Amino acid sequence: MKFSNAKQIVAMMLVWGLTLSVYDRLFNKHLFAPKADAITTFTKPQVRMWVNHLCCSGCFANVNEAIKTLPWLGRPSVVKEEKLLSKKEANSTEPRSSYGGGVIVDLQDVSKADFVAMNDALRKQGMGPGEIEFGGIPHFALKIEVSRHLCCHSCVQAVQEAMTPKQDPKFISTLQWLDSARVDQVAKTITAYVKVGYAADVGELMRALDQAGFPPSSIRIAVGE
Amino acid sequence: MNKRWQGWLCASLVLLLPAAAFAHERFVKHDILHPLHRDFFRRLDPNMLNIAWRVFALMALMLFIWFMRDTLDNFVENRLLRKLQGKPKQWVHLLACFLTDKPVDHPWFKMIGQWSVIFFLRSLALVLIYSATNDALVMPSYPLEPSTASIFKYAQVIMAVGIITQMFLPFGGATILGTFMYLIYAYDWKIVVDVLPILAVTVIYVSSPWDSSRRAITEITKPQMHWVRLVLGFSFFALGWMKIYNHDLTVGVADNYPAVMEDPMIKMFYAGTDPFYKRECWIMGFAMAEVLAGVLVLLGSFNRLWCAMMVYIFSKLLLVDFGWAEIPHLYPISAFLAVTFSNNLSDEFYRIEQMETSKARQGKTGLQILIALVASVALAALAVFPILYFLTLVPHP
Repeated sequence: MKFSNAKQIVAMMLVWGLTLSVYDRLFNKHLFAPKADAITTFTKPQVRMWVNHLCCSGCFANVNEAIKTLPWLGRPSVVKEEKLLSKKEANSTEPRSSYGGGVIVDLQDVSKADFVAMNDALRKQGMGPGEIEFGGIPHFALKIEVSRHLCCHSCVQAVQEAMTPKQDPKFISTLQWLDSARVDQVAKTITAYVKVGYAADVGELMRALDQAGFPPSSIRIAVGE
Repeated sequence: MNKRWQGWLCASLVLLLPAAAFAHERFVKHDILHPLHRDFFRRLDPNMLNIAWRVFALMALMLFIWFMRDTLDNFVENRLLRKLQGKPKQWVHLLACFLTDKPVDHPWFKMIGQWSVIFFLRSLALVLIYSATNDALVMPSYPLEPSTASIFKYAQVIMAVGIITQMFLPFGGATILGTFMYLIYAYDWKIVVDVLPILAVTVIYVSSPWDSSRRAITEITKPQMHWVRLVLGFSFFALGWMKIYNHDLTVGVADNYPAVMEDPMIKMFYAGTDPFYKRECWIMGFAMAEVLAGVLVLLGSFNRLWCAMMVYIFSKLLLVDFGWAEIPHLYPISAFLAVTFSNNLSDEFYRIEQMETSKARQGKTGLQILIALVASVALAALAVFPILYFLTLVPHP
């Protein structure tokens, strides 16, 4: 009878284990290989918004006023590719196909960030952010408070369903940047774990929760979770 | 298995110590439905100590009886029941051998033992196939990502085919060790503890001959059984403590399956504690019961008794409490059956038993009892209290 020896077993074990790990690293995008454009787009903690109406510097001044009330945000700037018209230019211009514009804001204090507060501040100034994207931190989660509405197991199931990434683009929210979500019925919170290296589409998240019937009262950032 | 081999196996297991984890908790169905009093686990609560003392006392008692087993057996068989004759005497002797882990010389026992070994060596294949069909790796606790699921599922099928046909078992064992290594790398270390028991059968695989498919392996040798027992015992010891550390996950099961809180074997440990902390005490009772079983199997004390109990417990979980979802528990059931019906059992108390035997031969029964008492109390205290205290100091998830 021929038996193996310890060296053979250790060698086979290492080869098998490394093969699985390398395969996972190369082909599993969830945990290890961050999306290249997610990294190049966000080089630091930053919020990118598409404001549905941002036709001129007058509208941008309202955005500025809203952002000023949030000390954890820096000074907003228009996305470089966008050309912002002055009020005078906007008064005399022809009708356009789109009146919205992109805005970038740096986060100065990630621990105090609350996207619901930001959304409310903008709406108070009459501005409606259509898309809100946050990125620039390699590994983070979003902590969502849903006020008092998580009263029973059915509520929990509904949230779980709403927070499940969907493949079919017919769904309003596909949540492809979301790794998984955890519902804490006791604390009335949802923790949305963002895929490593990805940016979080906070606007999509808000829409998904609104549609499910769980409008968030706050959305904060948890680094490293 | 020779000593050099043992050394290499130890070294390779040390290499598997967890690296920095970079994963977070998955979307689990053990949703905690009611708040836990988390402060209970941050201090040595009187109820916690109550349960710990019960476990300590039971463990010390079991160890003491174990050390005195030959004396007790001699007393029962040759003094108390000395008038017994024929078949009844034979059955009493067989029962005594069964309880004291001595070889049981009965054809039925040997037949069940052989069947258990065949079952044990192949049951892991069922678990792998079940996990593959559920898009998981090794166990449903490790869900596979869609982008890489296919390869991992087929890999499990290949491993399962090798296990069922008993083909190239050393390679099969090495792939299981390699998969374990990958699990530590890819998943949270807390859930990797769950998969420790599968290393028990790996011991047999790696120490089997290369032409294993041509041989009917129906017996586990003494050195192999020694390692199987150590791995199984340590696994359940670790799993027990993890239940306290990861208490939210543990109580989430009870919240979704309230019947498990009424289990009489666990109630025995927390009956009479403060009802205000009922769920917390249940977690403690459940965890400490597992620690108790794990320690006694690890030390080799009443292996058959504890393993038979574990067979009963896992069978109950599968058939009564949780149903089909617990089918992967066929593997630990087969492992404990293999130990229960083995005639190659041993324990870790060689030196203590040598001392005792020497004192007994000199007629120093009092000293023999004292050695047994001190050793059992010391071992039980070491097994229970240090880790319990440590867990009150560290933050829990």
